[in-house]
Amino acid sequence: MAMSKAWVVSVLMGLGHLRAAYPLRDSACEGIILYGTRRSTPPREYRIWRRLRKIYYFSSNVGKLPLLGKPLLDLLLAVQRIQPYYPRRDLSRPSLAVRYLGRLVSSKGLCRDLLVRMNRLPLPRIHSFYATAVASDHAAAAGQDYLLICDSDFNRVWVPRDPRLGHLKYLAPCTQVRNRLLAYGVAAERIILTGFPLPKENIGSREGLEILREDLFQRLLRLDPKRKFFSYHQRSVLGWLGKESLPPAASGPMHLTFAIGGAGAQCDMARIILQSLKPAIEAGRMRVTISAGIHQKVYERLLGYVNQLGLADKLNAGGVDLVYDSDIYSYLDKFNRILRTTDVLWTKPSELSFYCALGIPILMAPPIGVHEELNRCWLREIHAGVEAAGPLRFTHEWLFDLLENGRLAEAAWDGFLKARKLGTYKIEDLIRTGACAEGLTPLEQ
Amino acid sequence: MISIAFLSILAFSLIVYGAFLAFTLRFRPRREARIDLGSRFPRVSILKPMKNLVDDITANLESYFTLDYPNYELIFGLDSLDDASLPVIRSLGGRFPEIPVSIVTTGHSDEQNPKIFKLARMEASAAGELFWVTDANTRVAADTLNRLVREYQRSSAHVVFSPIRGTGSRSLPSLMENMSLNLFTSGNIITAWKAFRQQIIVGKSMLIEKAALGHFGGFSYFSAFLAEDFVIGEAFENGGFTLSCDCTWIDNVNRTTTFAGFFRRMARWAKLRLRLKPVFYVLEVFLNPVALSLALPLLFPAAGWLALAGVWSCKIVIELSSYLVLSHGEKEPRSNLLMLPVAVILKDFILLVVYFVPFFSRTLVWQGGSIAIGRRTRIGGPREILALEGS
Repeated sequence: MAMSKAWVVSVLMGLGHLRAAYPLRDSACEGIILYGTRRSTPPREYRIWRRLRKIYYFSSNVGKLPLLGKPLLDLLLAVQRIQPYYPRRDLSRPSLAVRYLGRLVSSKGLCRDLLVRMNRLPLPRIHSFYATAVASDHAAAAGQDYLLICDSDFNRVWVPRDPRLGHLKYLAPCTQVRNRLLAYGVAAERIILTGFPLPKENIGSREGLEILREDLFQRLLRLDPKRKFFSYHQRSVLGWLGKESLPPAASGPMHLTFAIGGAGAQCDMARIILQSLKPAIEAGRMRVTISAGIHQKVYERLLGYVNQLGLADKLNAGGVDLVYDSDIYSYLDKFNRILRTTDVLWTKPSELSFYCALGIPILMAPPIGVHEELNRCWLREIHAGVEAAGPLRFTHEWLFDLLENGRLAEAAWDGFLKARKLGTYKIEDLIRTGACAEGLTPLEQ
Repeated sequence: MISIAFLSILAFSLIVYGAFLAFTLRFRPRREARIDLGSRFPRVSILKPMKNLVDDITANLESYFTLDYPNYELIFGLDSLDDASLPVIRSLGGRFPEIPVSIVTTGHSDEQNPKIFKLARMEASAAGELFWVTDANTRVAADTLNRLVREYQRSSAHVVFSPIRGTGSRSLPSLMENMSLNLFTSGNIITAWKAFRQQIIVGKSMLIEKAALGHFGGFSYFSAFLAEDFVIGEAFENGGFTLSCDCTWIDNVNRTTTFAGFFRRMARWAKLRLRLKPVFYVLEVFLNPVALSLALPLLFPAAGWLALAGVWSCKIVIELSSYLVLSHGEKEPRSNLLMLPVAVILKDFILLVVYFVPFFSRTLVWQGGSIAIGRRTRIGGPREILALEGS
């Protein structure tokens, strides 16, 4: 099948926006444009982006500051506040942030160089961050703009000052996003329910979902050692996953992956979890992967914890793994690879929440910011997210309880059934034909 | 009040040098009759990144062909086969056929640390369970590797590092450079380690356990930083690995440096230090008693010149002691002793000028390339250029 191309634009503000764009790399004309970095952005504008990035990283870590941390965090959360969805009402009135962004675009020429670059070829433009999309929409350039929403609910700033004007279309990862867009005044015909773009290497073909189905089947076997989950759902699982029967036993120990956010704020959690799970790791009942991201200091700290806890001999030997790469794309490749064998993904409810569609239960770490709060609500709503059932230092107790009562397997299965998994393929359809079908069944969504 | 504060700083400065000297004397190079390694001789790959000719290259390299250690190989990394050091390596390889030698042509990179760029490519050819990274201008005694391996085994360290002894001075600038290496650099290394268990690794000699390095994905992990030695030490320390130094000295042969060469090297190191430890670097100005003492005649019109002479004399005595203990026995010409007082004073004035250079420049010339550095000596400035726009 001929591959059509699009401009794919992302920014570096944590890993979330880039993680959303990365599965679209095969469709990206001239590769993914990582705007706001020194190489892609003129110096005058680069300063604005650098400032934004500093604010982002500060806000991710501000809660840990002594004394002032809590009040500062509360203040930041108030600034990022998202209006409650209920009661349903018109929320289209622009906020201060929307006005400020509009001014940056119209007076300061935000993203002007990006638009010049993209205007060379009138291709569709996929944005995973609002500022570039709003600027492109404001310039009314040739070629359709699509803005990919990266959370399950979101701030008004993602929609331009007058949502009824312009030609920007929105790619919604879930129904709540569509509802929110309507509340912000976006016309229904400009909202496309695609699902969050997930890595194709974790799915397989769009028709067969071979990789996803096989990985999920093996995962469910590991997550249900007492067969409590299967006693309720066996027929459903065998039917959807195209299997004949259940094998007598699962292969290998449970594999927990703990993802540290792009700003590296959860390092201390990783130490406590490792300490708690050490006996299980040593006994071969548990495999733990910690995803360090792209920060060397974070990786070195984690390595230090592993050595201090006397787990060095288990490192990269089936007991403990660390995922790190200084190159962001290599890191994402490694992370996606490790997800294939991951049985439980322990993460703050970031954009990774949408990875529950791969049939991976999300063990929810405390959220940072309002978007993550709302992602947590969404995960709860579809039963794909599980709360930590006790303090971190007792992970070795409650995690195995969750395992034995089939709760983790249930969350894995609910995520697979209820979350959309074909986002990448549907966006590729859009690029190619300008339209895509929402799909009805779990294998079509 | 100001006068007392100034005198305190001056006294502190001399005390620090006194401490450097004391530690240097305590852990000065010594010969040992026999070094017992038991029955285990882990294979060592000696990695030598090369770039053209340096002073006494034949004798330097020969010292690595004549080590007592029974289980080692030599791997040379060259930019290309046109490198001027290649005939020397081939000739030595012919003279010592019993020593396994590999030559790896690596190319050169200006966007990464050139030395690490080489090491990362040499690593693939190395069969040892220990890597000993040494510079081309170093020379070692026959038992050096035995000592380092003994320390590795004794302390279960993953990195063993060494103080550096500058030797071979045949010119005033080379004498100044060697004196700076012996007292300031090695004094720092030994004092920091022995008194505070703080590592200061100088990349001229690092014995690294291959398995531990593997946890970082090999040398390329450090390629974004120009001060690879410091960053390696820091990463191993953060990563919970053990570092050790038993004060096995490594000679740095430096015969013919010019004033310009001395200035450039000192400025390069100063630029690295400022980016690695800005606060410590700013305070370094207080470790130049000769330059500081110029204020004495202004602060104490009556006895200022006498005090200045006293400070200079103290510094000369300290440096002379260091020279006599470390370098004088190493076939250094007697004329060096006569030049030494001048060398001490001149060196410290040059270092005062050098001190200010890093505040105005972050670009340095090294291994044939001009490299701009940012925080922690990251090459090219902010990390995103290298890491975030990736492949």
